[in-house]
Amino acid sequence: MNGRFIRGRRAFLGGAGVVVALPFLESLLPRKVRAQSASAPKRLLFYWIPNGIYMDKFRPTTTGTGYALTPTLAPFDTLKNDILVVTGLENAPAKPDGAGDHAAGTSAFITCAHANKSQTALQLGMSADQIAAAKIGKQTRLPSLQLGVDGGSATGDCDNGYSCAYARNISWSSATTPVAKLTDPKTAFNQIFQGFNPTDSQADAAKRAAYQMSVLDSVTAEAKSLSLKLGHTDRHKLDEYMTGVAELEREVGLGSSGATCTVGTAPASTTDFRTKLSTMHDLMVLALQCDATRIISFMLGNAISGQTYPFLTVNGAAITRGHHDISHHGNLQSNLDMLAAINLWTMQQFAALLTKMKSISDGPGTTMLDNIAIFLSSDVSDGNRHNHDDMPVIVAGHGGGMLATGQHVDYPKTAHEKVSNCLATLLSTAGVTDPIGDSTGTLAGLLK
Amino acid sequence: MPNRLWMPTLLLSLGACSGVIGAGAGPGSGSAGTSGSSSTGSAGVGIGGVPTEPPKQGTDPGRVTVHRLNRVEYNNTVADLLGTSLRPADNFPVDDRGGGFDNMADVLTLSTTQLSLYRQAASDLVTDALTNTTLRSKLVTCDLVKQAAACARTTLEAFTPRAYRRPVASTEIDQLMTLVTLATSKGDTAEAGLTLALQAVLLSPNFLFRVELDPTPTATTPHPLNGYELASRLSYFLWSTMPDDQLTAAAAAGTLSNPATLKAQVTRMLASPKARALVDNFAGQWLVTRAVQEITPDPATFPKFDDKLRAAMAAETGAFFQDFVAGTLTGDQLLTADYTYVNDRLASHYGLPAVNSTNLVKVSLAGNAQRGGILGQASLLTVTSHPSRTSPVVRGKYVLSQLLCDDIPPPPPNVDVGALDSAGATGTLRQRLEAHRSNSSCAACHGLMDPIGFGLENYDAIGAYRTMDGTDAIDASGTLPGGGTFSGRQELAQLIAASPAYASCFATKLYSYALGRLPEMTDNHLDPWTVYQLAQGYRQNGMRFPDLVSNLVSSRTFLERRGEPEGP
Repeated sequence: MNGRFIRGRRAFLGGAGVVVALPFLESLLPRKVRAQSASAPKRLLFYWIPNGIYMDKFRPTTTGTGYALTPTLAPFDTLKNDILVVTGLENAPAKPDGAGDHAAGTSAFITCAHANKSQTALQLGMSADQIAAAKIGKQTRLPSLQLGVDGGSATGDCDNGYSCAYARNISWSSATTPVAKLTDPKTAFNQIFQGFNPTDSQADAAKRAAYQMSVLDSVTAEAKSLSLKLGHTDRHKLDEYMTGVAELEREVGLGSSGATCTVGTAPASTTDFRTKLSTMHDLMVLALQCDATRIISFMLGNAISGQTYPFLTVNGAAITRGHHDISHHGNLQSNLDMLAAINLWTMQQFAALLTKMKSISDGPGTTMLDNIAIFLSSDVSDGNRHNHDDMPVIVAGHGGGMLATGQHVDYPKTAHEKVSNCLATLLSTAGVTDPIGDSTGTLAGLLK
Repeated sequence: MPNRLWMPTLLLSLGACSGVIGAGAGPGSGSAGTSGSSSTGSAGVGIGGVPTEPPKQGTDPGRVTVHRLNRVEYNNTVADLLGTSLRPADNFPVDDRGGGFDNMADVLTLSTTQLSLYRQAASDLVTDALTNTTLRSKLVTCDLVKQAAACARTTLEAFTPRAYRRPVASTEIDQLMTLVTLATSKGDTAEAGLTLALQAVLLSPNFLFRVELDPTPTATTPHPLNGYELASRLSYFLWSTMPDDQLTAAAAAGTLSNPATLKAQVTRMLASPKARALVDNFAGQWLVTRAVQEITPDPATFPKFDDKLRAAMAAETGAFFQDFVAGTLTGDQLLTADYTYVNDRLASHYGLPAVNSTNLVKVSLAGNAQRGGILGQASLLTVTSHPSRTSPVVRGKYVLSQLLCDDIPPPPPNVDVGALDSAGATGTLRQRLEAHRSNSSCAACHGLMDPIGFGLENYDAIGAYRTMDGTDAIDASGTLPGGGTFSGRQELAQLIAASPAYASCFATKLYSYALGRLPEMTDNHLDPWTVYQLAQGYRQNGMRFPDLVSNLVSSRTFLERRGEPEGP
């Protein structure tokens, strides 16, 4: 498929960081890509936010196209026709065994599978992004990309008997293998653009690829030899290893033909929440724009996020308590006010991401937002009740023109319509028709 | 940042806490968890799930899944292997935890992303090792220009066994040498070839995983580990890194599993500076004090909290626990000691005389009722508080789960927590907590936790001593379930220290960490009996850490393993 990519189209933008570089990137995109707008790449983004949503300020009062934006949805004023607000969906597999709604809800976020409650025996299901990556991910250097803003606390229980793996990963490449996210902007940048040396000659690049391939061949041989001596549980670990090596081999095989643009220096590592989030948003756009990947999952924290929001004030006081603590609002007005403020801020950031995508041309007359399908939701609906029905969902982007944006779609709770069917609908816009978790089909109401 | 460790366990459900705490659980209960399905056949259990009589001695030593090096282990290992100061794993994804520890082999999964980061790290490390003159001189001891392939082979023959932590067959070196040949055949130098081969070693599963082999992978007959495998178990347990030359020599000599050799190695290893790993990785996770680096006390409430105080808090607990590792402090004294370590910043925080040092100094606390033992250390008191106030609930839960291995379930969803923090609430924090316990659905669990936490109310949310909470006088009296009543931290600490559950819990936690797996609480498994014996020995012989470690590494479950039947 890479025949349309040619050498020599790469440009080097020295010095500038990612954030600064972005506005210039469009000019770096290869002309051939832009000329092929009819077959612009279909992209997917899965965006997880922690601790649910204060639904009273989220849910529009009417359905259809004429709905009025609620206080929490106000940031989408100029994007109303680019999103679908979906309410009433249920993610039944997210219900934990006993306590542990956050970990079970997070792990079921896009797997729609029921996590085995254990500290060590991981068993879940393949996630929607990985299902898509297995089908269409090989078109790009990275089949998928996992990003976040918080690697997770270094100590403590993660959630009532559930291993931290369930609380920190939404992407699972198999029922037993979570795909860890990158939370350091510099590491993420290097991951997106690694192995790309714009000063290489073609001969040098070919030799380098041959060398890399040989190193991978060597370790594959070692892994195969080792695997023969192992029992089945250990072999499974080696299988994870060999799957990874095969993927790296594929990337090397793509060589420089897989990269379509490059930028200057990597962004600095940062621990500041707002800076990191904004940089990660930039990196998402960059990775998609450069066609390094077409499938991204993103976590705005981890299950039971205790993120503080001291830069937000409610009734004159900064929010210094942790988000999860506040989300157990007990219907206390002061808590609800803080939740509404956190939700609003989160939506403002998400809206800014959409606006950025909308500003990036994907060829004549289309933008990145036209050719992406985005799923935003959380691990629970209401943070106080921990319910997994009536999930707050925003579907954003036009899915290549297939999504019936501009509306609020509400499914009656009694219908028990599934989150997984919503995800299947999004995947269908990228031509992927595989089932996800407990899905039974697509949701016609979300499609044109 | 995650501000604190715990969920706001404000209200808990009836039923889960209705009986004697720990009822029905084995020694592996609590946050260390169990991975087995059936409980042991023990007749009775006391507080913390401690069996009142020895469990049946099973025959199965278990097996540890092939263990991917976690971030700490990777950084330490490459430092020892290459002398590098690079810490590539700092930007790897955070290792997932199981049972409160990040070295559980089953949970250390490997994604393509992680492998890609390993590849980048291998490249960076080899470049560093070959371009830094000092590092290079240790790695390459021959003339790579003149001797070319021969020198590359010599280098790999010395390096690869250290990287793989075992002898390496000549065929394995042959395999690596194909990379050298490839480079020279393309007109590059042997140096370029060696670079590729070293990268391959650092990307090899034999390096990235700690491998233990069974003679027959599908046979469940127990067999002893070989010397090299045992050396790695010891080294990663006590040092979080690869075996050193002495361990490797003992492994090569086949003497490592001799009881006297094992004991001597443990003594040597615990005396090494590398044993600091036990402080950072075991204690930091057991006592949750690693979280000191993540806490954010409310700056409006605690304007004096800063990074210097944060560092001093962490350092105090680290230095204190180091004494326990060294054997000069016993397990009960961890709770009741009459000394600690402070610098001026911490001394001021504690109301102690200045020590005229920014470094920690050991100070006597004889006659000091305010400090002594971990329950009086600011690190622990801070990580068990909310940003702006203490939480007797969280502190009580901490004591139960971390020190006594008794997990308390979370509150049921949809509880109304408004009464505790609402503007209209009146009375002291204690009175408000007691009021919500009038709700029977809350009382069962909070009746266990809160009275423990009250005993630590003389310490505010950053561990400063106080006698008043705002305008309310502190009442630090309380009850330890099954352990009697107390007044204040000192008496609480003494009750915990004397509890069989404390010794049992500690043995269970250390056991899980040592093996990188949770105890299997099944009848035919050796774990229940082994943990029981270790706990008994620990408690009856002065709660000395080095002795517990010696006994642990001499146990069959540490020295042996088995294969597993072919699975699905």
